[in-house]
Amino acid sequence: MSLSKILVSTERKYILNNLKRDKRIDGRDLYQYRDIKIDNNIVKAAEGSAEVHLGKTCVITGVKYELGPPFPDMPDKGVYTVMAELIPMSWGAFEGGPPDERAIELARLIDRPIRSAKTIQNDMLCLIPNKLVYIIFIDVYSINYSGNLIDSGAISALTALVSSKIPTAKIVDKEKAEFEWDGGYFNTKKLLKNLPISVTFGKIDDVVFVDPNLTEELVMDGRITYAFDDDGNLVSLQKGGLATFSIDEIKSLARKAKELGDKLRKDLDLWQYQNLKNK
Amino acid sequence: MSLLIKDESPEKLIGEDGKRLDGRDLNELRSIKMEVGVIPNADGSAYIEWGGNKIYAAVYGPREVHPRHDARPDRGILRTFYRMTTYSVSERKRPAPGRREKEISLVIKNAIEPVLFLELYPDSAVEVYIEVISADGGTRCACTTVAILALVDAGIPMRGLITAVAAGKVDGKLIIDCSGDEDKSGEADLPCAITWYNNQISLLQFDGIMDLEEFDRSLDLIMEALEKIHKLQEEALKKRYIDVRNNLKNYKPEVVPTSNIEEKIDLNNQKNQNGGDQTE
Repeated sequence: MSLSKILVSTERKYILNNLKRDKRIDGRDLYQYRDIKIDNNIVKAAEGSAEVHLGKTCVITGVKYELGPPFPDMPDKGVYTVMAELIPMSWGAFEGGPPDERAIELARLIDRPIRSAKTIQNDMLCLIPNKLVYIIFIDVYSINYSGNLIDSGAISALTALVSSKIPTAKIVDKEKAEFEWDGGYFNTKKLLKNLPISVTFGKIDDVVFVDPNLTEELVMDGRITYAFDDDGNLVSLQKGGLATFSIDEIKSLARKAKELGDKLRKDLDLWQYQNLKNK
Repeated sequence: MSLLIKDESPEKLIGEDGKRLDGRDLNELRSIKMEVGVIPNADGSAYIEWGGNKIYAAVYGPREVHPRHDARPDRGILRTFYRMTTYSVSERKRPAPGRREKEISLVIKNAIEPVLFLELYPDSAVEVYIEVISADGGTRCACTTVAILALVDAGIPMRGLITAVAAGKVDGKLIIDCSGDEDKSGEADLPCAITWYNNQISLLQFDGIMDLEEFDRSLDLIMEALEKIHKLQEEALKKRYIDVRNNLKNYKPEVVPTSNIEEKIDLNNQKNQNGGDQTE
């Protein structure tokens, strides 16, 4: 039994008929995001945390760090990873267990813009080259899945990073790799450079619309996600699902995505969630 | 391995004035806030903030059992999943559930199941997902307390509520509702849950050292605290029912009605003239 299969057969046509007349089932315009609400500093034990509501979708992201060895090919750079958990609490059809391909795709889609835009200045995260660097974990949990986890997850990951208080270290003994807390924290304004915003479109038949909600996501043929950095450069792109797009469509959607992303960036003003301005 | 942030907590957990580190009296609970109906997708859900604990509980079901051989022909089964987010604790927790999470899941299940009328749902499962977003001591009690609210919200028939709280011992003194710090360096921990319909204890664990007289007094402390938390649970549920009633009064369907039916028919006709709807 799959909820999505039932929806496909009964609701797809209704949604499509409405879309063809520029109407969404929740009353939005085709290129209108749902309301976004952001809370930060919600988890005491985490270095950074953020709760993002996008309509009824809710994600909570935490940032943690460890100190450990770098990757051999980047001996003087810190490491960061994004993990996404689609926990069964957040939707009836999600199953427990290790992340499935869907959760992994989501994690990678949240990771990619951050990596391409060189958001995290990972050369600041090196303590002893070849030996000891910061390893930053960005863990995204869906609390209520109501469509578009990509954009909401990306926003929550950035907010958690911006609001994080990661302690800085000083080396006590370089040979023995001994270190201690120097009493300060990274200034995230320096640690982070660029906050790329993701914009996801859904496609049903030949109709494209932004920020699909749960029902739309279940019946749509596919999606396309663009991410742009602060300077307006494309930093990530992914087509998902079975839908296909024409070259012209891809070009014009890129412009639309940039426009929507710029507006989101301005409206959300993620830098306001910074906790510390020293150092 | 992470940097050791210098621990500023004093040697003693109870000060000269008889107050605890967070300023509480020995028999004083932390602040508790509960909300019912927080996860729209779930059949029932609840959220609790208990001191530094932040926990969501969601109930799905009664629904089909997977795998099928877990189903029982004479009654429904209850499954509970206690999970912690990786960032809920100071040292990052590994994403996969550990032994501790599995044990606590079982303990909570055994605490809750006695009050449910699961015999009404043969061949079905009621699944309770509990996610600890932020942990600060006493999570199993907070989880039990919030899970039952989610089950009420899901409309699972039950004999009554259950409530849980832990007593502990620090610096030789008995206290109620240990915080994370008190849990770590305390001398004893006694989590306990009560089923209110018959005043029985359905969750009971103990670790540490206590003499029997202290044990008796701890249970008295627990009973006193349970009554207070029970009232908060009832208030949270009443608020949910009032909200539901008010929402029903102002209910407007979220779905945009097709503006007029004739228009819809026209659209379909046009399509048919063009050779039918391609989605069929």
